[in-house]
Formats: sequence, C-alpha cells, structure tokens
Amino acid sequence: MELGRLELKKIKPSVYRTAAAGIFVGLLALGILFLFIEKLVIWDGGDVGDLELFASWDGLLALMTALNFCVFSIFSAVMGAKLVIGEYGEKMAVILLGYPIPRTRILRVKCLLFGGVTVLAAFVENVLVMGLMCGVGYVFEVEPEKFTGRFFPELLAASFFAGLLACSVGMISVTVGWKKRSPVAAIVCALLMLCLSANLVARSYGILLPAMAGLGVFLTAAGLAAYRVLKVDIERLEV
Amino acid sequence: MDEEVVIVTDLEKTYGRVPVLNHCSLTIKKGEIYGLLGLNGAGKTTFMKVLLGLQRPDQGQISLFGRDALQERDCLALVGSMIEVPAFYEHLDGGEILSMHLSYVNYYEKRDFAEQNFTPLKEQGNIREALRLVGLSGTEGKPVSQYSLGMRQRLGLARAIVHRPELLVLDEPLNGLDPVGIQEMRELLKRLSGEGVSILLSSHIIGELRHTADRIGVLSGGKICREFLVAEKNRELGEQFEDYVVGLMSNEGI
Repeated sequence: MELGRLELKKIKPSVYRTAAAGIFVGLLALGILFLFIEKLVIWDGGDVGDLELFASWDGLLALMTALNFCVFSIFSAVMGAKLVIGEYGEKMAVILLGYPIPRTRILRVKCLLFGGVTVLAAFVENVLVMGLMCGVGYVFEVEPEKFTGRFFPELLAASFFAGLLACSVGMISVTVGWKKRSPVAAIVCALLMLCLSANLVARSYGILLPAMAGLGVFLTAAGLAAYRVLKVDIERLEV
Repeated sequence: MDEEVVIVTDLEKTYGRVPVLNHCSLTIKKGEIYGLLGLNGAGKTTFMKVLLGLQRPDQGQISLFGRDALQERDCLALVGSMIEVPAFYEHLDGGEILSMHLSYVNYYEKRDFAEQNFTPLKEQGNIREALRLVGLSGTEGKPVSQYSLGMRQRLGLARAIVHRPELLVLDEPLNGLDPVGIQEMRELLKRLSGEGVSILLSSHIIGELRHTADRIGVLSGGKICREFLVAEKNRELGEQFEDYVVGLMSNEGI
C-alpha cells in the first residue's frame, strides 16, 4: 500500500481523474445518442433495417462495452507508460534502482496500480453509463426493448471483462513501448491492438460474454507474458 | 576512524569490448572523505554506479559495512548518493521529494537490523534540517520546476543526506554551485565526516578535492593507480600539488 501511495504521488492523480471523468461524459453522451438513433432515422424518413445494433439492449451493450474497452486501453497504456517507461527509461531510474527495495517489487506495484485502476474505472464507468442509458431510455421512452432478467448480470460480467481486456492491452503496450523506450510506441501499439479486437467485441452481440471470455483468455495470457518480459528486463537493467 | 566501511576488490566492468574498470580496488575508512580523481571518461561514475548496484560488475567484490553489497541490497539503506545531474519529479516541492525519498529508504525500517554494523533507522530524519544544511530553507512549497541549477544540486545533496546515511557517494557534487555554495558544501561535507559519515567524492577538478578530501585516489586505466593523503602531499609539495596530480593523471592516463 505504501509503495502504491508513493507511485500515485509521482503521477498527478488529478490528471487521470479528469481523464476518467471526461471519458464518462463522452461515453454517456454517445450512449444517449445511440438510444435516439432509431427515432432520428425514422423522423428523417430513413430505413431502420441497418440499425440492428441499436435495436436491442444486447447490441447497445456490445457497442458501449467495445467503446469502453477502447478508451480504457488507451488510458491504461498512457498511465503505464508514465509509470514504467517514464521512470525506468529516464534519469529517475538512477534514484529508483538505488533504493534498498527489490526492483521487481516496485515494478509489480506499478503494474498493479495502472492495471487495477484500469479494471476498476472501466467496470464502474461501463455499469454507470449503461445504467444511466437505461434510465434515460425509460424516462424518454426510447428504450429499444424491455429488459430481460439476464441483462444486468450480463452488464456486470461484460464490464469486468472490458476492464480486464483494457488492462491486458495496456500491459502489452507498455512492454512494447519499453522495448522501444518510447511512450508514443506504447500508445500506437494499443491502437493497433484495438483495431483488431474492439470490432470483435462490438460485433459479438448475442454472444458477447463468450466472445469476451475467449478474447480475455488470449489477451490476459499475452499480458502476463508481457509482464514477465518486462520484469526480466527491469531486473537486468543497468543505468 | 580505522574501521573500513567500503572494501572494493578487483572490480572489473566492460562496455562491450571496452574495459572501463580493470582490477579496481579501494577501501574507505569510517569518517574519511575519499576523493576519486580522474580524467573525463576515466570510469569514476561507472565505479560509483557499480558500488550502488545500478550496474553489475563483471568480476570483483564489494563490501559495504561488512556485508556483500552485490547480494544484500539492505545495506543501501545506509548509503546516500548523488550521481550525475540529480533528477526529480518536477511537480513536487523539495519537502515532498525528501519525504518520498525517506519513505523508500525507510521501507524496511521495521526489519531487525540487530546485526553488527547496522543500526535501526528509528527516525525518519528531519526534512527541514536537511534543507537548512544545504541552504534551501523556506523553499518547501516551491515546485522543483522553478528551481535553478544550483538549487537542484543542493536538493540532490539534501536527498542524499536526509536519511542520515553512514556512507555518501557523490559524483561531482559541486557542479552548478556558486563560490559561496561551494564553500558551504565543503564545510557541510567536513562536518558530516567529523560526525563519522564516510564520503566518496568524485571529480575531475583537482582543486575541489584538494580542499575537501582526506585521501585521493587517481583512477586511470580502469584502476586506482595512485593513492595519497592530501595533507601529506600538501605539506610536501605546497604550490606544486596540482602540477604533481596533473602529472600523475597524464602519465598514467588513458
């Protein structure tokens, strides 16, 4: 806990709180827009046949979860780059590596911090955004369909998976960025991974949880492998 | 005063195929100021980094306070250092930086340091006292981003001493200081030495070490090629002191 507190002190937590708040507002605005899309198309005289994704809570959940996964993957990569690449790759490493604390312990705390914050923030935001969307849909009578009993457990599970996936993408990106000694490389890596994986999540409505679980197994394993690579590098690091 | 705090034996370090340290050995006694003198690129900073565990030697042994420093990182809790240009978290102020440093150094303070040569770190150290000693009183609320070069150098020294170490490893600590600051730092180092703190001080400026160190070792060819007591050489050579040392560095030079 003490090491975690010290890590937080290094990175200006207010910046990340502001980012999370901005993400929440952005996702909520998009989500409310998505609720009204079908109505807007009808008013405009358009064909609603192509709006399958917006015509059910399953579709909206898949779409919003994919968006949540995307933004928090970038969030995780940025925070991880600051904590890992920004310290071990710069002059601060001379100070950090000179402390009488095992190097891997400090690294583990850093990774748990940005990973834990990502999982928690992604989970909470996805649940809050979808919950508020449900409320708005009910109040303004724009809900695509009536809720089923499985929607809320599915929302909780999907939100958790979104956080886990975002954390894994962040971990892999940070390791790639570390190898290149570049925070920008970490963010670019995250974006490239999202191009492949986010679409899979969005298109998996109806089978969202199995799809996310499958992707989760793959990305989590890759994330753990990336952590191991990073750990070995930091153990051997000379400054 | 005769207790040996640092014992380095046959240290070797290469960068690729370039040998930087080549069977380098030295000892530092308790309360002694040891000046490590050498040309630019002689390996002074490399030696200090190996001593602090920032780099691994290819061969050799390092004993700090009677413990194998290559195996036991605990002994670094009794070491304060300033290597190259000190780096800080720019959004924090001096007090916060020292507080953070104390938290890291004292992380294991609850461990049992009952073995010989170690004393429990019962106190966190006095942050204000450390800032006062280096001439930074009243700057606690000022973020480091607003510090001048000299202030940063002083804060780096404050960070090295705030946890009351028994060994200081300082790489060109007087860089960036004005003449008054240099005088103040010399007096501080002398005072710390009088209190039993051992100091390893590196420089390529002879005058800096002549007025500060008790003993000087000339690092050349990857090893300590010559050692002498400063007071003795001063008495023996007087004004010729610097010429003598320059001659040593040139003749034995890389």
